[in-house]
Amino acid sequence: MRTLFVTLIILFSSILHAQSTSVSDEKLEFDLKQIAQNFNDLKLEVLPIKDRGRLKPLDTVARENNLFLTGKKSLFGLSPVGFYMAMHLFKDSSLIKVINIRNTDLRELLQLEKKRTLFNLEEVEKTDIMNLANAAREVEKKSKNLLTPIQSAELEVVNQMWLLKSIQSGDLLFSGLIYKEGDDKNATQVAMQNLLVSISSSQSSDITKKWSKELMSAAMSAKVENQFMNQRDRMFLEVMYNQWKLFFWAGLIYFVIAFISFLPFSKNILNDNVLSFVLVFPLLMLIIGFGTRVYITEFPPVTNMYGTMIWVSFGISLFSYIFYLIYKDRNILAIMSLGASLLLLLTENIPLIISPNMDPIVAVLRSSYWLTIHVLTVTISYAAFSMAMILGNIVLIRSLFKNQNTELINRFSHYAYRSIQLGVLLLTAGIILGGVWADYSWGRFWGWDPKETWALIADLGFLAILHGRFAGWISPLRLLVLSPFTYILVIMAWFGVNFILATGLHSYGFSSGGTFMVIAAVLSQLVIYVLYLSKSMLHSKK
Amino acid sequence: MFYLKKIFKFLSSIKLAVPTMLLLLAASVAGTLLESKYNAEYASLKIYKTWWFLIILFFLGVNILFSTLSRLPWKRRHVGFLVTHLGMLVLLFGSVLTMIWGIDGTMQIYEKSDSNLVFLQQNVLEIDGNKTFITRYLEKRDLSDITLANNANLKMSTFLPFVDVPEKNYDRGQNLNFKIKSPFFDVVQILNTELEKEVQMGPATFRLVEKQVQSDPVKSIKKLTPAKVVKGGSQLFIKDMKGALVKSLNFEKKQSLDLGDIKLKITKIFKNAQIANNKIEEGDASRSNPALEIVATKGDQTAREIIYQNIPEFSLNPNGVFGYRLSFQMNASAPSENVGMSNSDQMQMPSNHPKVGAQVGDRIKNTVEFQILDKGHVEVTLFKNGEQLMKKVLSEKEMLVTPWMGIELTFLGVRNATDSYTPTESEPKRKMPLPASAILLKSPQGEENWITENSEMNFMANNNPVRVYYGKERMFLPFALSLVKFEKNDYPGSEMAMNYKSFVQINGQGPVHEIYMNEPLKLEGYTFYQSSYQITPNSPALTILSVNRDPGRELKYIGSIILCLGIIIYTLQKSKRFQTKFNV
Repeated sequence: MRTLFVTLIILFSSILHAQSTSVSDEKLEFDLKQIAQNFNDLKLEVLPIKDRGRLKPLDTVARENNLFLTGKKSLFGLSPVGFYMAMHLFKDSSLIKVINIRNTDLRELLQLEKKRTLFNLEEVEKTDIMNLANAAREVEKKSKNLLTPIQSAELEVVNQMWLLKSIQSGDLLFSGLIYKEGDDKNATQVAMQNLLVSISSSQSSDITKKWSKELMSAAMSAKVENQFMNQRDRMFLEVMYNQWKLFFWAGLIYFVIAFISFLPFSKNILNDNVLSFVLVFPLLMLIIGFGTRVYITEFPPVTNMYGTMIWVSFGISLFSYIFYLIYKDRNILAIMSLGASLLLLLTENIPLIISPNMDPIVAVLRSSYWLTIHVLTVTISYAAFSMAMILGNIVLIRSLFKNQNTELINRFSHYAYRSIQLGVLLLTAGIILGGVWADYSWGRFWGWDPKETWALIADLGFLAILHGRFAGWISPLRLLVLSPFTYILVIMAWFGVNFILATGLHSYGFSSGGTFMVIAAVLSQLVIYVLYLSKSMLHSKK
Repeated sequence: MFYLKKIFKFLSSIKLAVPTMLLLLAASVAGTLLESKYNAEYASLKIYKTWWFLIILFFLGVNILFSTLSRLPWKRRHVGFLVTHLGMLVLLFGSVLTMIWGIDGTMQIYEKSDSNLVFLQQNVLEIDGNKTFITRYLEKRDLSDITLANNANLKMSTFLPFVDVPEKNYDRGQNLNFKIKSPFFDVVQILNTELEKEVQMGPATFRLVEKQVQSDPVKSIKKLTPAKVVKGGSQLFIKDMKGALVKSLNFEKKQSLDLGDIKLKITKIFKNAQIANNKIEEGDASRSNPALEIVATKGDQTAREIIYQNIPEFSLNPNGVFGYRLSFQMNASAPSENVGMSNSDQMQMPSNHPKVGAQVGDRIKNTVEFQILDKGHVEVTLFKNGEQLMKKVLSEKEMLVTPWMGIELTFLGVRNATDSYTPTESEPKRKMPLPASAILLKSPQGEENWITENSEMNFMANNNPVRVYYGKERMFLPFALSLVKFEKNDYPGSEMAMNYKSFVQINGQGPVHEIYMNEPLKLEGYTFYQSSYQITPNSPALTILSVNRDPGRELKYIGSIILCLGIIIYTLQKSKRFQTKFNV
């Protein structure tokens, strides 16, 4: 289906740009595809490669590098490995448009076509990028924090050029191959060399297969560092994990279920029992996907933003299931399925902002015990707050079209109240655990660090709601109205601290997209409020 | 009585609780925003450590305390409420203990040496051992009324919150001070006529040139070749234990020097010393770490000493060689073999990408030459790739905008290196550590001297020399930690640290303790944490530990446990209120 989609896009774009697309572009693409086809049944995906402190299958390396270079896991409908290897073998790969210049202002600055995002190496090299990047590098030497977005983009493009050059030269491919310590002949490299030669000289597929088998056995038998021993046995699993995309499919299933349950006659298709049974599947998929991630990285999946987002989706699914068991209200399942699906689909579709990589973590975070408990507790509290936010938004949006239904509001308000209570419980515990962890590793319980301060801010916000509700100042409707607003604090604590407050510090080159994402989320929430308020003001005038 | 009751009711009410919480929330938001704009220290001075922030926290504590008291006599349904709020009280109380009696400092130890010096957070002015605590303000203050309580009778006069501190101090020659400012940096630089004639700063090289006879323009264009080499030996300085210069000697090669009571023999000269396998070796051709190996003989005793030009504190004999301290200065005016080509100038791949052999375009060579006319005037010549772009005479405080990258260059005057200096005021910069502060000291005779943060100076008061230190309070541990070894493990195939470890001994003996991330060392009430490290290619590893004594720790832990228990009880307790209202 994906292939079809890509072909459609290519078809469309070739129609639209009929004049600008020269014949040679198609010829180049055709030649590249010809080369890539050679790799189709060689099963090189599972070849172990040393990269960034971890042993990973060639499939993962190819996906990550292709993504950084082109913004996609692969281009032209090729397999990631096929595309990656073909870019190495193809002699004209400098002419193929693969460098994704993501920053519009930079494209303008470099006097490149503004509407196009992919450029070939020759085009980019003709621009002033090197001089610009040299200046940016001087700034970076002083402090990474001082880089402006466009300077970060300049450095990113230079790194992309470097990446492409090292794919072309083969440095990247060969330096990652594992081999026996002290083996002068280096069986792995020799086998790889022979394999590449046999493909580029179009020898028979038997010879090619023979060399690829040789390569695999050399790589699998080579002696490696102890840390890599276990990882090498997981190559196949990781390739499966890459290809199955469990989280994406779980998100899709949630979406379908949510869609069906919002249909007026949904109870006929999905009665309560069937609904609660069907929902077990995506939940299981999340658990399996999560388990695989933990098994591959040998570390709880809380090392990056991607991990926390999946964890929160899991939390939403789990809590909604528990709420359903307590309150026997299928609306909870339907609403929360929608929430979980949106979060999962968002997470899966912005790999450049929310990187799904499984690279190792920095030294401070290596105390798995405390870190795990602390981060898991804090982030799952976001799931509880998310439920309150979703309930609030449902009521806000519903009131735009329908009159208020007191029974529904009281019911939802109670769920939201319980969610907030659960969230405050988990977040407070999480913050305190964080304090204990900080005290244990750094010798201070609390240091007003932005991340911990914002967690406290979010906690205080919801605590204020709980106290206000207790004092009777906040009616059930107000509780629902206030929840999404207070949730903005959670968004700040979760994403804002990394993407807005510390631009350039936590993420290299990808921060601009993250900033945009946070601002967009907050703005759309505010738009809902403006609509709601204008509607209720009109209502009161009548 | 009625009023007391009313006040008690207000202090225990939720009407105080919610606004206090919201105030705390708003202040914290402001704090994090300030931190992201400037830095953590600025935010804490502006928000977290102010009196009004403490008052908010105080009211929060009072409110919690009174609200628990107001529910007397306690009933069963209050259990959740009580446990939660009690936990919070214990936690807050523990924090107060930490704030008042806790110690939080850092210490730095070089590999194969020891230290018992801890720098604390609070600033202090120390005069012959008498400490006066100085609050760090964010604005200029007059401190004239404070007379320091000791015989020196020094007076503090003005407090400048932010000043530019020159990075280096020279003990001879003339200093040419200039400031360069661009969107990316803002620093004061110094060139010294004898010791530092050239600095590389950002996109340009700044160089001092000697006054020379008028030459034809063609020649002046060729000035890009290294400045004229002044022949002459390097200098060895012999100081006594107090730091006073006893003698300085010229040397050019390995040679013996006679000091009278002791004899020195220079056995090895390194241009760029590196330590590998516990041996000192010559590194690459750059001049980044000059070092000397010297054998000193006194009677029939001999001692081996290694001195590093740039790290004089790292010596084989921390207590001196036969009562002397040695330092040296390599001939500074010799041409550097690799102008503009040193490793640091080449662009490097970010650490998360493997190194590849791609070629980078040559960097543009910008050069600024200064020629001192007199103390208030300097002639500036700008070059780009060897071509002269402009030439201008600047008087003091005059500014020049360079044609490349719009750098503003301000001439700040020429001073004798040994003169006392007047600091130039500065301001906090975006996302950078705060500039140092400075205090103007007045002696009874009216003599004035500036002292900047984290520096020491000798001051004459009533004709007696007094030693003054201003900076982070120094505390000496009752024992010394010696760093036996520092170890950094990377993730295989990357330069990312997986773990780093300090192996320390107490007073250089006994068992070796390991300190690493998440594994602190507890000793005599102090806890030592691995905080950071510095490994530069040409010097011994430096470990940075944070040192802590926290009398509130147990209370905070207990409070945390109670609080967590409380919330769990709270959530489980079915509140009657909500059962009746929302039993759907």
